Amino acid sequence: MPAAFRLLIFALILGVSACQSHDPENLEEVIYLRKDGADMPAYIYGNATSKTFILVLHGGPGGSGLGYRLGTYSDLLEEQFAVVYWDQRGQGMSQGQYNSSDLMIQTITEDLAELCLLIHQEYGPDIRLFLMGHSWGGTLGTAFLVQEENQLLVDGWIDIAGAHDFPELFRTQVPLVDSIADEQISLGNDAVFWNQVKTGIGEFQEDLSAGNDLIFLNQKANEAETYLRNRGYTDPISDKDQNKVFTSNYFANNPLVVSTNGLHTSLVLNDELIKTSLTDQLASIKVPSLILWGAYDLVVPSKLGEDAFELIGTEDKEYIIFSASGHSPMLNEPVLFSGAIIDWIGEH
Amino acid sequence: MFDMLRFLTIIMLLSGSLSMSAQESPSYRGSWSVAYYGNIIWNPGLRFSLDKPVQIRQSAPGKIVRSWHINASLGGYWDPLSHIGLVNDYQLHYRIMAPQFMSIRGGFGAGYFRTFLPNVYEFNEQGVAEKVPFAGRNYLTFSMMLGIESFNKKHPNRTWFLNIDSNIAFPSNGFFYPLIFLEMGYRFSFK
Repeated sequence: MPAAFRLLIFALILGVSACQSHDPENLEEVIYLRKDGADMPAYIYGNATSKTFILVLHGGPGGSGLGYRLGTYSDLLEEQFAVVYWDQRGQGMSQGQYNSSDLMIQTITEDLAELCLLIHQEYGPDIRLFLMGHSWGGTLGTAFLVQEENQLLVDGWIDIAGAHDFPELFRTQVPLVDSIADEQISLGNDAVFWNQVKTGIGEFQEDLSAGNDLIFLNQKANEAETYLRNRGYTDPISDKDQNKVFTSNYFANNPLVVSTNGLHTSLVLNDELIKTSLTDQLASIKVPSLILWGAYDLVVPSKLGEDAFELIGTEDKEYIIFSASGHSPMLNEPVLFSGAIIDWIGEH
Repeated sequence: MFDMLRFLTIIMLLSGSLSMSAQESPSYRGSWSVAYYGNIIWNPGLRFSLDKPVQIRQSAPGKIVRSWHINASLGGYWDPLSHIGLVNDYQLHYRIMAPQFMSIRGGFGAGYFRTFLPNVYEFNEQGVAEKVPFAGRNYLTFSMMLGIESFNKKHPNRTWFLNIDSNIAFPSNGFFYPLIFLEMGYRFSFK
């Protein structure tokens, strides 16, 4: 490579680096993990003087790390801790060259193990590292932690509406949405809408047969949750957080790349996901665990949260239900949500 | 990879055969351009390109001019949070021009896309993470463009143009990497 060209590239990379802040009280850094053909960015924001890092496992599959930097709740967490927003393999702005057949839950748990090691290497062996997984991120975190050697890499587990058992999820989700639809119809609320929801989910009385069904069922559950939020069952999302959702998804990320990556990866992973059941292995999780759920979560019903709380194999565990939240309590009740996390980490 | 090379060869052969039959206008021997090259519009970038007509047809003076061009470009953009991208494209364009007014241009081609990623770490066999210098990914691309170009009577050798360019880069994450650009700049005719 000619020297002038190297110099130009170096200057441009320096330009990207110049956008970062290395002030430990207000850290803004990006590091990439390269592993098995994938380059995965981890965006780190917040207060690193606390020596406490929260590693966010985004939902989906097909979400993005920065899609979880959502205003009020993340501002409150970043004031106290450093928060790592990681784009998993094949998702977010991750780049890579590998076969789709390498996209498996196990591969991503191995990526996660290396990311934990990298964070410890970069920010010091004395830091505390907590995993925080939402929805699919809860599946991933659980799959990571049931491999006992991985528990040495983290100091605690925050499970937010994590889907650790998909067959059980479907067994509870369909009747739950169905019963809420019946309740709303009996209250005289928009029978046309709720009958459409009932008809849509009625096709899934048995276990799902294909990953695409998962996307459809999630869509129906999300529609039902949106209806309940508009009717005041759950707290509205503040304008500030709505704006942040928009800017995080459309400006911090490249939405075209994120959606293309996400669509492909979710279609590949969903076929494995719908058969994934980790309930029998929950007892092997011995790290302190905080389980957070929305009372009106129709995407991952709170029955899974109750199971996780009961079966995780540590006495040091806590289960909190947010009474005015759906699948994303960080958006419905951000102050209570972040307060619960800050208090719990403070106790550990 | 083989299919891509075959595609590039076809493009080059096609361009060559058109060159041989070119009826080049004495007043337009080609142009160079410089443009804002915004990845998804707002990630800033810059693109330079060279454009050479290979066939120009005009039924009579003052009538619509239809022409084929070969176009080579080098552009770079900056995605502030995640990477820098470099795009080297070779395209075949078709232009329909209303003289002294404006033209519409569409094209397709193939090229090369390189990303440069900051702070990339990889674990070595001893289990220590090491920084990877000049880390990034190489991709082959297929591209398409559509644009308009307007003439300035005071400066006949300079036109402004607005293009939408889209590329599909592969292989990427077992699928492809989409790129879309707003290109907006000036084209300067060679005298």
